[in-house]
Formats: sequence, structure tokens, C-alpha cells
Amino acid sequence: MKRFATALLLALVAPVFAIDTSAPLQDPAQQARYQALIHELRCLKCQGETVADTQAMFGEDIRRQVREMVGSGKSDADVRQYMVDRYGEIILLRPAWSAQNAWLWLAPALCLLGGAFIAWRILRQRRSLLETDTSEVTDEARP
Amino acid sequence: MKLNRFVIPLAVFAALVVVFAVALKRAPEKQFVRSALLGKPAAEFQLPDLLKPGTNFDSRTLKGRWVLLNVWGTWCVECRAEHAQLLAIQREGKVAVIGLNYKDDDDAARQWLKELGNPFDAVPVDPEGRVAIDYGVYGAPETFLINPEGVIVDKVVSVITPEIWQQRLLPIIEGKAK
Amino acid sequence: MIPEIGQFAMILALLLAAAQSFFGIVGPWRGQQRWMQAVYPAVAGQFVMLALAFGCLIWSFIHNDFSVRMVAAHSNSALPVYFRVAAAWGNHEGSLLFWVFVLSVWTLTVAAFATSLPRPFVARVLGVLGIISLGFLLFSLATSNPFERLQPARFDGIDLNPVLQDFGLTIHPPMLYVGYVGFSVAFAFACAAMLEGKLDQTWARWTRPWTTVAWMFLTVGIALGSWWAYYELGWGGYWAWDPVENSILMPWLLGTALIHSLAVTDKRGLFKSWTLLLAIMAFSFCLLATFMVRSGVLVSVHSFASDPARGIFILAFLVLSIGGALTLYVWRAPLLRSEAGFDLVSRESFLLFNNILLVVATAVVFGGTMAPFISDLLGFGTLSVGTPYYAPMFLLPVLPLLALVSLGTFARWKRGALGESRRRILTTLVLALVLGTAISLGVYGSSALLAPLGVVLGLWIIGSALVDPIDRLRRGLSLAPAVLGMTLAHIGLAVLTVGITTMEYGRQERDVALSPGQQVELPPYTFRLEGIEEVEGPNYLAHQARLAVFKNGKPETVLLPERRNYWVQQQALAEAALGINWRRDLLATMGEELGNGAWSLRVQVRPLMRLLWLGAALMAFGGFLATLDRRYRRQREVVTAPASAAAAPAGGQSA
Repeated sequence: MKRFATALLLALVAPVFAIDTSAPLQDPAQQARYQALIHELRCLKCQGETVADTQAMFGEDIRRQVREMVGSGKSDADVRQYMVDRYGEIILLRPAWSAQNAWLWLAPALCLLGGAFIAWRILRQRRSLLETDTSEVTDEARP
Repeated sequence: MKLNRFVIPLAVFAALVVVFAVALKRAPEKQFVRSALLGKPAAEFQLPDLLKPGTNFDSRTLKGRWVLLNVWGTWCVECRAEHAQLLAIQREGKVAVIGLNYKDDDDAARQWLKELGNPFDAVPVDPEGRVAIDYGVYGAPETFLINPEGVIVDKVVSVITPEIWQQRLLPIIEGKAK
Repeated sequence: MIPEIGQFAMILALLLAAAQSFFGIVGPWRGQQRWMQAVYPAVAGQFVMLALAFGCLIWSFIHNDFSVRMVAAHSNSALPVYFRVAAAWGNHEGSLLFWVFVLSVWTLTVAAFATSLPRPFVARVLGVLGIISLGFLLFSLATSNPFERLQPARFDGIDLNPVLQDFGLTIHPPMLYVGYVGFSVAFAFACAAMLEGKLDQTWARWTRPWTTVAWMFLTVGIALGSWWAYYELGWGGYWAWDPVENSILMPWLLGTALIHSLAVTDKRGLFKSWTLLLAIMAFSFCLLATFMVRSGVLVSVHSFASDPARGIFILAFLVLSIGGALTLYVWRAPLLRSEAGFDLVSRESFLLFNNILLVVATAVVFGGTMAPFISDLLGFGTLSVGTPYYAPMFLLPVLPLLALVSLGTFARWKRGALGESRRRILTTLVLALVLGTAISLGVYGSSALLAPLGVVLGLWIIGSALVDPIDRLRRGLSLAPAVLGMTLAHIGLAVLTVGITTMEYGRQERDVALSPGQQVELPPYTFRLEGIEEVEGPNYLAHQARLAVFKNGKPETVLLPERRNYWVQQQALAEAALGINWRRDLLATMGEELGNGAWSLRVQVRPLMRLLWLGAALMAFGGFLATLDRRYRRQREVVTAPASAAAAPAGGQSA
């Protein structure tokens, strides 16, 4: 009884989202691919939801389409291309790797390199100033 | 004021403002996704016709005419709002008006058309939304303008108002807009 | 009547803000003592007027005055009182008034507590805050008047969106706004310093506590938002990299960098231009967030009703405020050179890396958020960016950062002397490696590389953070609040890391169709549907499922998810049920009735989910402790000393 009592029943409101009760694909590898793909497609009817989680009819239809394509042996790339042909790149939550999107994928690494360069410049300068620096560190013990 | 590396933040900010200003200008249309199928050939399909049971509607019969393909359903509140305009468009006779019945119930759809009038030259039925996916449909109402060569030239992702018909679609049909 | 009073109060507040701005900026510039004096009544007056205005708004909501457009649009007589109050800030116009009100509270606090700072400086700070207030009040009165009347009045309101009818609405926005708006203080301090042409260690010491408090509230606000989303979404999502969520993450990242950068400026007079820029950027991103949410540029679950006219106004305000500050920066920053030095390995260098990595992380999030706009502008079509992009890219700077937090704790100022701590570094690292891998692989069976990595990094941070405090305690020394606060905050970060990593890689989730009597297994738990019951609430009717949960066959708990029908807005909403303890969260959400008594359900098991919120709480509490440090109270002596020294040679006449 105590166990029941200690559980916290915090019931708070959530919009209805889709629960996918269709039968899973026979092949577990295909089922896994299906799951991964539907989490990568955006629901265009709703805001910020994936096709996997949305209750909109659009979501049901796309999930069915993906399931059928994966089940019939199409590759992940085929599925993505199919969707992009009809809905545009906006349906992909992971931007496709292309000449146009390259900047988006490379930017973080480039920023890191840029940051490393800046750090190196500053470190070099400050290191050389160390010889002429007679300042005391105030209040060493505190951050 | 010497120009040095400290001006970089300001320069980046200026570029950002430009991006935002452009985004703002485009904001009203940007609410909706621009169709990926503009300029591409409309998918061909054969679907049962709601009002002619036992027969199929073949989209290939539409070649050679301007077509307004309207995606609708009885569950769609906004479709009711554009119904009058669709009837008006049908009366003008400038385009063939095809009503793709999307994810709907046949009896309810027939009842609806009986009550409100039928603006459509044909009503292909797509209960599972398979043909709709081929058109990049993600909800209703959506309306496609297809030229006589079978190419999708415009898509309206909102209610068809008289203004949209007069100022956006009609000019394309009559060759006044490119 | 009341709405009119509120409206009038806002107009008065606008005038007072204008006065505050004028006297605050022009007073010191012209050396006018009386004008600088006049800023204070303006601040107090503005606070009173805005309190009155906001009070009138809340009154209108509580008393169901549906002749006010906003009340009619967002409330209803059947709505419980506490939601009616929260509805006041659950919409664009009301939340804007709330924003300005919170700003007036911060301004009042600065005016009250900054008595030991030089008068001209404080006047400038208050003046800058006045300008910000002026901008927002103009925006509100011109485009988003909360007191606009509805003619003819509705008989009853159309109710608050059921999605918002949740405890979270009562606390998430207020906490968030207090934090958000709080960064305006650091911004104002930065502008005041630039206007004065002077930025030294004393300035940094003054700015630190204000920044830390704002950061603390922002941490709580974000954590509450994430917590709310966790229940709200019902499928256990707690961060969606939604553009609006990103827009509050970025000021937080920059704010964290700012806190650390201020420490360096305080202690060694270094990083002055970094600190200045971070102070400007942190608040700039707060303003940017306001723009994104309200201008109609973004479509998001968070965005309020869109209106490009509003967008133009905000953009103009952004240009003036951020552009102005950055222009000041171009003018003044070159003067801030310092000749201090530090070694390649030193606390300063670690904090330099910290600054850089946090800025890179901000850039990553910003890039992803702006990508759709930029891609569109360049004619590349509409791009969309979601979790599959953000998650890996964000880790790029963050993983190194986590490692450096541990190492950096051992480094000393100026010359790191890490060599002396070599043994401790190795010990903590090895302990973390062993414990982390054991927990990750042994207890939770997560085999992906990132799972043990995250846990190891987290444990290493905890170990490193505890070394110095434990050492001091062993030697009988006391711990200054600043040290305690820092330790706690870093531990909080570590706890958060361990929680997220373990939860993401160890969680289970299943969608099923169950009839009463059937069950589903997520080892070691079993969920059995015992029955469905109809339940009535204040403004809804619901189906409630009774799910008995067993662990290894033994009864663990009972979950009662509901599917509610709100009769006013005619909306159906699923209500998640959670079973919570420190080891794991159990979630159950109802889908739809499938016929023959069967219902679709989603059940989830999320190990160590609680650590996320605990981590955030520790971080916030650590920040709070740090502000209690007595060195901030010693400011009084620091500042009056030079003043009395100057008075002596001037003749010694007491004023």
C-alpha cells in the first residue's frame, strides 16, 4: 500500500498525440529503421512535432507510407527522397547533406576551429606578458 | 573611430537585421510551406468517382484544360467557408473544378454536396490519402492550379477567397501573369 | 472602469520612463546633480504605475470582465481562479505588460541596493533601463494594448487554451521573465561603463551579483519550462530544440559565459572587452527572443499570434538598442587594454576556453535556428532543422567543455600549477572512469559510446569539484559562500549530464492497444490495464484508465492517465500519469478508444529522469549561494574610501 501511496500521480494536461498501434514490421531491423525514419520527418500540419508523435491525419498517412516503403525493401535514402520530392526539404528534420546545406553542417566544426585559433592567439600574447606582469592575484581563495 | 576587430559584432548584427527584415516582409505567406511541386507535372491517378458509383475518374482526361484541383473533406471546417466561392468559379466556366475528397466518408460527402450544392465537375475519392501524398498535401483545404499541359503552376494552402481567385489565380489562367 | 485606470497608469508609466531615461543619461553627461537626483522618483513612480496597471489586468481576469478583449479571448467563467490569474500572462499583450512590470521591479531593486556606487554611474544604469522600458511601453500601447475593449462585450470568454491550463503556466513564465529581464541590468551596467569610458575591476565586482541572480532565475525558468513540456507533451519530450526554446537557451549560455568572464575581470582586470561584449550579447539575445516569439516570423508552439506590424516595431527597437550598444562597443572597447599576463595552463586560460566553447555552443544553436531564414534568403528553398541536427552539433563544443570543467577546477590563477595537482587529477579521473563505466554498462546496459562517456564526464566533474572544499574542511577552514556556490553549481551541471545521458540511452517506450485485463512488459516493469472509468472535472469530462505497474512481478504503483474533453473549447486532451522516484520515471498516456473496450496507450520507463531537475536546481541554488558572499557587502567600504581621501585635501570641510 505504501508503494502505491509514494508514487506521485502528477496528472497534467497534454494534447493528444499519436499512438502508433499498427502491427510492427516482421523484420526487427526494418522496424528499427521505420522508427528512426518517422522521428526524422517533420509533421507539416503541426508545429515542432515529428511524424512519429503527431495525431494529425497527415502523420498517419506518412507513417503508413514509410512503413510500406521500408517493408517493401526501399532504402532510407529512397524514403527521404520520396518525401522531399513531394514536400520539399522542409519535411526533413535532419537537413540533407548537399552543396546548399554544407555550410550548416560544417559551421559548428569551423566555429570550433575559429575559436581554437582565437584562443591560441590570446594565449600566446598573454604568455609573453607574463614576464612583465607584477600584478598580484586578489583573493586567491575565492572564485 | 578606427575600424578594427571590435566592429565585427556590429557588422554581424547588421547582417542579421537584414535577414530578419526580409523574413518579416515575407512573413504572411511564410505561414505556409511553399509547395515543392510547383513547375512539376501533376501526378496522374485513377480513383472512384463519388457521384458516379462504379466508375473511375481518370486524371488524364483533364489534359488540355486549366484545372483547379481542390482537396476537401466534410470534417474540414474551412472547406465550408470556401464552398460558395467554388460554386462561383464553376459558374464562370474558366476552369474545370475537381474536388478530391480526402480522408472522408462517402455518405457524409454525398450528403454535404446535396445540401450545399456541387461545384465540382468530378469528385475523385481518396479515403486513405495516397493520391494526396503524391500532391504534397498535408491538410485541407488545399487547392492546386494545373495548366493544360498538366503542370502544377500554383498551390493555395488556405481558403479560396474572391480576392485570391481574382488577383492570384485568374491572372495566371488568362496569361496576364507569368 | 478598472481597465481604464490600468490604461491610464500605463500611459503615466510611459511618461515616467521617458523622464527616467532623460535624467539618467543627460544628467551625468551634463553634470547636473538635480537631474541625477530626479531619476529616483521616476523609477519609483514607474514601478507604482506598472504595479497598478498589472493589478488592474489581473483584477479584470479574476472578475471575469469580458468587455476587455484579452479576457474574453483567453479566459472563461468556468476557469479556476488560479488559471484566470495565470491567463493574464499567458498571451502576447498581457505577457508584454508583465515584462515591463518585471523590468520596473529590477530597476527599483537596482536603485534601492546600489547606494554604494557612484551617483553618476547609477544614474546612467537607471537611464539605460529607462530607455528599455520606454521602448517596450511604446510597443505595448501602440500595437498590443492589453486593456483594449471588446464592443460589444461577450457574455463569456472562449476559455484559456486547455494546453495552457496547467500549474506550469503559473510559474514558468514568471521565473523566466525575471531571469530574462534581469540580464538587462548587466546590459545597463555595461552601457553605463561604456558611456563613462571606464571599465575596471570594481565595475566587474559590482556587476557580478546582479548577473548571477538573473542567471539563477533564468536557470529555474528554463528548467520549469522543460519540466512543463515533459508533462505537457505527454510522450516524455523535455527539449525539442524549438526556435523559441533555443531563444532562451542562448542567453543562458551567454549568461554562463558572462558570469565566468566577470570573475576574471574582477580578479585580474582581464577579459574586459569579452565581458563587455558578453553582457551586451546576453541581453541582446533576450531581446531577440522577444522578437522571434511575437513578430510572426516564426511558427512555433510557443509563438503568440503573429502580426508583422509588431515585428517591424520590435526590429526597429532592436536596431536602436542593440545597434546602439554595439556602436558604443566599437568606440570604447579599444581603450580597454590590460597588460596582465597568464600562463598557457592557468585558471584564466581555462576560463578563456570556457568563454569560447560557450560562445561556439551559442553559435551552433543560433545557426540552426536561423538556418531556415538564411536558406530562404539565399534562394535555397525552405530548410528545416530539428533534433537530429542540434543534438550531435551541440555536443561538439559541449563535450570538451565538460572535460575542461573538471581540469579547470584544479588550475590556479596566473600560473596554473597543474603539476602539483597531478595526483588528484588522476585519482578523480580514474574513479570517474571506473564508476561511470560500471554504472552505465552494468546497471543500465547502455552500450552506445556516449552513454558511459557522459556519465564519466559528469562523475569527474563532481570529483574535481569536491577536492578543494573537502581539503579546506579537513584543514578546519571555513568555506566562503562563493566557493560553496561554485562547487554546488558545477555539481549541478554534472548531475544534469549524468541524468540526461543515462535517461536517453536507457529509456524504454512502447505503444500498445490494451483492453482491460491485458498487459505490456518493459522489463523489469509490467503495465496492466485494470479498467477505464469516467471522471468529471471543473471544466471537463474525462475517461480515466487504471494501470497497475509491477516490477519483477511485485506491485510497484498505480498510474491513472486521463483523456479529457474540455467542453468550452471543444478540445480533447490527453493527460499523462507519472510514477516518480529517484531511480526512474514511469509514464503512461492514453490515446484513443479503439472499440470493444480497447484503448491505445503509450507507456515509458525513463531511468534517472529526476536528475535533470535536481541538476538544474543545484545549479540555481549554487548561483544563489554565490551572491551571498560577503565581499559584495564590502563594497560600501571600497567605494567610500577614495571619496573621503579626496575630501581631506579639499579643505576638510564637512558638507
